[in-house]
Amino acid sequence: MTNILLASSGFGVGEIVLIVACALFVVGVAVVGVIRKKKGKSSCDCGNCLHCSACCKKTDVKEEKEN
Amino acid sequence: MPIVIAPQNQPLTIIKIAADDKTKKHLESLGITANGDVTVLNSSGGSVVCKIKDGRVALDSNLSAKIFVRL
Amino acid sequence: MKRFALAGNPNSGKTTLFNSLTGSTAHVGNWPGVTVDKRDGVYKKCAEPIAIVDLPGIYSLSPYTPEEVIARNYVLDEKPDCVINIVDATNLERNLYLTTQILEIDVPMVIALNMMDAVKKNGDKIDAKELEKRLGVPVVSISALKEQGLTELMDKAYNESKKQRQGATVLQESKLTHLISDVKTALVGQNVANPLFHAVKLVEGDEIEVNMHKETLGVVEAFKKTFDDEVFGNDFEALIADGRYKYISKHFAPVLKRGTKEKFAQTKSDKADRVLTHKIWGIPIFLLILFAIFHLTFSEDFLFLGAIFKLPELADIPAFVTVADGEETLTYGARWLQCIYDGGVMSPGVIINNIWNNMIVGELFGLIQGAVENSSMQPWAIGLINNGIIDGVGSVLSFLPPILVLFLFFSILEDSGYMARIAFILDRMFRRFGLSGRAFMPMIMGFGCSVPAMINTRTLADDKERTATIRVIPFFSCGAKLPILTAVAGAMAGAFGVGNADLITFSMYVLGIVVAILSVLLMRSTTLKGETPPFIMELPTYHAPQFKNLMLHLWDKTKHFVKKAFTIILASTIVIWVLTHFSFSWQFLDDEFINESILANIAKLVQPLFTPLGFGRQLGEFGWVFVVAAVSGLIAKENVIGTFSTLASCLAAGGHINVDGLDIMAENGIDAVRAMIMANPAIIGATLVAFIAFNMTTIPCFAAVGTAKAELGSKKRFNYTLLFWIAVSYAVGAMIYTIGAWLWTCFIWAAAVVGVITFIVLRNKKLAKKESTATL
Repeated sequence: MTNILLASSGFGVGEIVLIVACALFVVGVAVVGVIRKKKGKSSCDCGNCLHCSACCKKTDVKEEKEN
Repeated sequence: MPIVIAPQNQPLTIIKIAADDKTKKHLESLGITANGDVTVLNSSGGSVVCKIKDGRVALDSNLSAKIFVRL
Repeated sequence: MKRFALAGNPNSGKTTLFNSLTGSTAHVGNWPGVTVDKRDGVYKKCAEPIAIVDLPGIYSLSPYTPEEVIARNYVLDEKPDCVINIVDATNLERNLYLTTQILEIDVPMVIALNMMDAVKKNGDKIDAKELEKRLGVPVVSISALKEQGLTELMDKAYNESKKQRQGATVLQESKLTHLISDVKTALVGQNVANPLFHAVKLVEGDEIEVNMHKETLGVVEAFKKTFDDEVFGNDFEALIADGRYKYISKHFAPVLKRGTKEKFAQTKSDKADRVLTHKIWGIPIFLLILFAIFHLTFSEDFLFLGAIFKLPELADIPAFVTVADGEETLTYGARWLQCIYDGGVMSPGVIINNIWNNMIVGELFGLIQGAVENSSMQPWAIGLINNGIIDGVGSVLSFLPPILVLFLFFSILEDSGYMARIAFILDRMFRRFGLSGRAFMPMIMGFGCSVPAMINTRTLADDKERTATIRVIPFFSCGAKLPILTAVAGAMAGAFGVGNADLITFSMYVLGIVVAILSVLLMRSTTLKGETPPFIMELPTYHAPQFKNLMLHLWDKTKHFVKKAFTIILASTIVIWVLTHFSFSWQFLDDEFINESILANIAKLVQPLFTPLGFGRQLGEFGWVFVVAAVSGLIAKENVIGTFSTLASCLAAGGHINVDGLDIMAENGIDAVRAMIMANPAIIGATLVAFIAFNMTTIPCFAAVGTAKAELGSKKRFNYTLLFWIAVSYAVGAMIYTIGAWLWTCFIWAAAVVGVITFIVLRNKKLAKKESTATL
């Protein structure tokens, strides 16, 4: 990792913000994705959810269990 | 005669449905029962579109050969 | 909280009512089978909030389909406080068949007489008060679409829910009335809830009932032995069904006074059907409509006027040309004009697209990129932002217009009722090959997104047919694959001057359909053999789709698309950028050295595998981009073009390719692909077509794969499915490229196909022989 810091000379504030933001973002998306899968809330993620049975079914099943 | 060769746009009465239970039950819930009235709107290539009461139901060629009607 | 259930026939307006009551945006299609699961919401305008459950559309409460079982069990076991039965007034008698069954359950009930406005329009009249008297439960006229009568409906339902109601049956004048009554007494003695309903079902011989009440069954069986009817024999079930219809016809139907005395008049809908389901013209009309949709969405030469009249391009008209930065470009005014016309009139879809991308988004992102470039940030940071993020995500966002327009057209097709006719026509054609029309409906849904399409296969009763259908759904190019098609097709049209982009796009969609049909045929004659299930489908009346509904769908889709772009796709482009700008020893690489990056090296290992498809070894240095793009498609198919754009722009920044006159982010990623074409001289038209075909038929995105796994159930079937996708995509890609590059190879392929077919036919013959000798 120190190679990176040595290879490029000088890090401004902008650059650090950029790196941190990107890293957090990517990790965030991945983690959220895994959490949703575990919860059973399948993210259709097809850009065309239509509140279709895919997303709704799991919540219905959970409600049935709670009832 | 099987509904597949019945004349179009004429009132018909269903005599018999020679299909398995499951199919018969499905047809029943759509209004296609023995003794029921039906009119053929369109019969091309074996498959049939018929008018049951106020609805339109499409049936494939195999099935239309098993539904018997009379004028 | 009190719970009310909505029950009714498919297409009776149940889901529309649900939306109006709960304010949510559940989907409303116009062909049976869209609502496969129940839906929950809350109605807040009563004295207390009420939970509303939208049960699946059913024609009856028999146990023959999963929807019926769900609905029936909900009412019997979950004991809702009231059942609101939606009845389509334009189809009164059939709808009341279900009503008579619900009436037999001991649950408070209210009838919502929907589509009364359509009844009036037909010139007919229904006396709701009279119907109420005869049914014994409140009847409220409503129009779910226009949201009329809803408050009155809910108030009446609320009042009813406070009382108890005893089940009542219409089978008073049947030969089985006494038997039913006896069985009911027996069940009451056993303290069974809803004794009347169970009694009737038991007499019918209903599977579920027989299993639950074996003791009482004896009473029924005894009676059956001594019973015989001229028409129905001792088929009690048919007798009861007939009894219901007879009663409905005699006592309920008279409340409908028809305007036209002619009982057999053809409605406008019927007349339209004579043409649209015509024996000969049905299919050509369908293909024409499909082509029209693509033409309206993608054509840059609307109605082919440009080609016919040899219209000039804007760049050839001096008045529109100006000089800026030493180069000839179009004037600002001309650029606006270019959105509508340039050598040909732009189709509506393209006009929207051009304005969005060239004038709005393009300018905006261009400004941002300019600002970033002129900032004092490090070159690598500028690269990450401009090439990685903005070009990558920007190119995906640029697809929003065509995706929305296409989605709009398909929604119109669906909501108007035409989809059911398509299924009917296709059934007619393909039944002899073992395909049922019912299977085509989920497939056509696949044009939007594979996930709900796969879920919708639950309406297919036959297990093997279901598996076959699930496997081919991804071949119906979903919305996410559209960018691949548009970008590559557009690039082909631009770089090789091959035809119009809309024609290419259209043929690729058709290719998907053809591959799907051939695959199903193959499967049905080998591993998934079985009877073709019967095709029984209700054809709802045609009606113009609701504007408000359509807009709601579009808005919903827009939200999801943008969300997806700024989460998954953005994350993917960042990851890809990082992996292509670091070597294995974690040393940062400038764009110039992109070929030595981690990702490039891994991809280069895999690259040769794709040689038969045209984007393997023959592409040399930068061919690995194609591999990376395809693989990134596993996360989300939009990534394929997103990746192209990111990497193409990096290659350009690294001086590997000359991108004069191209704007990587604009033009729907077309220029990104064109840039890649320039970087790889070995690319020919066939390569691109093979690339599209490969991506269209290969393993779909993770979401679809997950859904397939869940819907298929068996792990074995799922594994074979993965294998199937890999095999088909590889074969199709290879076939297209090799034949495209060396025409004579088509003979080899033809021979192979013939060989396979012969093998299958012979094998089937042998198996049939074995079976018949076994049974002898």
